[in-house]
Amino acid sequence: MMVWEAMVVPRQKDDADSVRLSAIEEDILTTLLGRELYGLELLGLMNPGRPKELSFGSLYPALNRLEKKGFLRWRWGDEQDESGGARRKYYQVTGLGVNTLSQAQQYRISLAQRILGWFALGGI
Amino acid sequence: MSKKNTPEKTRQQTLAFVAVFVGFLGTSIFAGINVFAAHQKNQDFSQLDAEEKFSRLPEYLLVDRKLLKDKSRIVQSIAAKALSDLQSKEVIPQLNKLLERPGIGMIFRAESLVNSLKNSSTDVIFERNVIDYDTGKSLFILKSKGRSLSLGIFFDSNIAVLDQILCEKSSPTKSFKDSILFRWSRTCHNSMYWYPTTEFHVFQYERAISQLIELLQHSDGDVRYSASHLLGKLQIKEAIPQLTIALNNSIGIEQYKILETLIILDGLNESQAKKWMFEMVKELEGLDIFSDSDKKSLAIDISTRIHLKFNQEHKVNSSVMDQSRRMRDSQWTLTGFALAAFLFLFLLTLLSLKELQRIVWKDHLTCYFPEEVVSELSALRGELTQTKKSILLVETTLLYVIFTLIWAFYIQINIENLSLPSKDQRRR
Repeated sequence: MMVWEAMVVPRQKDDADSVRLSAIEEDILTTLLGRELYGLELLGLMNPGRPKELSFGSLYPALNRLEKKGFLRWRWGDEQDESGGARRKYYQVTGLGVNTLSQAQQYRISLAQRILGWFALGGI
Repeated sequence: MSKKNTPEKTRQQTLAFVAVFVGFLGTSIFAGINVFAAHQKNQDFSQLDAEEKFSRLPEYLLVDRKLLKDKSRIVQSIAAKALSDLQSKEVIPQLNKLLERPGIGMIFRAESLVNSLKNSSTDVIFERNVIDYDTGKSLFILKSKGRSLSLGIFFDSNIAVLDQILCEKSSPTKSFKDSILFRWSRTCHNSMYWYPTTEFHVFQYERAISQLIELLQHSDGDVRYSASHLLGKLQIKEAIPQLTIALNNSIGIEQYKILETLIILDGLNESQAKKWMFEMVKELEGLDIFSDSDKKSLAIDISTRIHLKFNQEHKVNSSVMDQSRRMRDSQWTLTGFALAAFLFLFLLTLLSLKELQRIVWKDHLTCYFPEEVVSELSALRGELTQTKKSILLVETTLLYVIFTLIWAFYIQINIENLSLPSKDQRRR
């Protein structure tokens, strides 16, 4: 049986901070939508075509933030032969993560629409 | 089944790694000290002034026989001068202190002397050395490279002085050597005298010198040159009376040329050289063989020679400095080669320890990073290795990743966690 480590309820006073998503965090959530991946796989999917390659040094702090905010959960994978018995962590987006990402994306879409509408109405 | 290393296995691997590392460290320190010491030793000797060199040479010869094999002309010249020292009684007590057994002492002295002869000239080569262990008597057979002249030099067991010399005008033959050995053996064991034979001539020392001097008048230039050279090698006190005879035939000048060369190469200053030269002249004058005109011409000749030599001092000095520089360069080259060889061996061993290093590497990472990071790094390493990149590139990349992870886990995440909800808060 899988044991999932995940956030339950974010702090109320930090709500505003918690829902903020940086570009890296948003990319990670987008990549993880509908699947579970481990770190190296994440980098492998995110880096092709990315203007500045993501490294382990910036991936893990981002994963830590997402986990602390309750947007991610993880489970231990099986022991790997190639890593001498060390286990991988497989990350998955939580419901909250999906909602937050969805809100952020909807905001961007609406922002784009507003701006386009503003231009269409003869702005500037 | 868990494939994780047991603590015991990990401990053994770590110990093995530490042992290998300590071994390398020890080897490198040892090699470094050796190279430094060798360099220092040569440097120390080269920095001594000529008189000190001369006075300390016997101890160098005793403690470091490698010096006798030095390719430098300066050291060779000094070794040639030390020949007389080795033959003097002042050196023998030192030898006897070092070597209690007379037989062994004799062998040592003989070796030192032969090495001196071998290294002091490229024209005299050592043919054979035989030592009688019962009596300590020793025989050296020397010959010039031109093979026009051969010498058999005999040494007594307790005093390292020249005893008798055998000369042969033609190249040494098998029968010549056999006869020498036979007669030498009989002398050692039966105290037989030496008698001239048709095959070769046996001379007392003075007669041998006379013979050499006569050979200097030989029509064959090769014989003349060899005789001159061998005579030069026998610059011991007993040679002085014969030298006066040689001077009448302008042969002495050749002797002085050798001495002058030694003076110049040893870096003596002009006054020292003059002092030495005029002491020699005095000694010759004391023999009361020369006529006044001879003495005058000899003094003028020597002064002129010294003057000329010191007019060329700059040239000679620069040549000496060039030699010193070459010596230093060769030492540094050797040091460079030693270091390169060491690095090469180190890399080879690293390659052979690649597997061990891989295992130990993961165990060490576990101490600093969470399990998942160790797993990811191992996977990354595997991927990089599969791309057939060079080991150096793979290791450099991994090292960079490890440094960034150290920063991320120990600094960045800790700072960010201050403003992020903790696990407990989240579960409330």
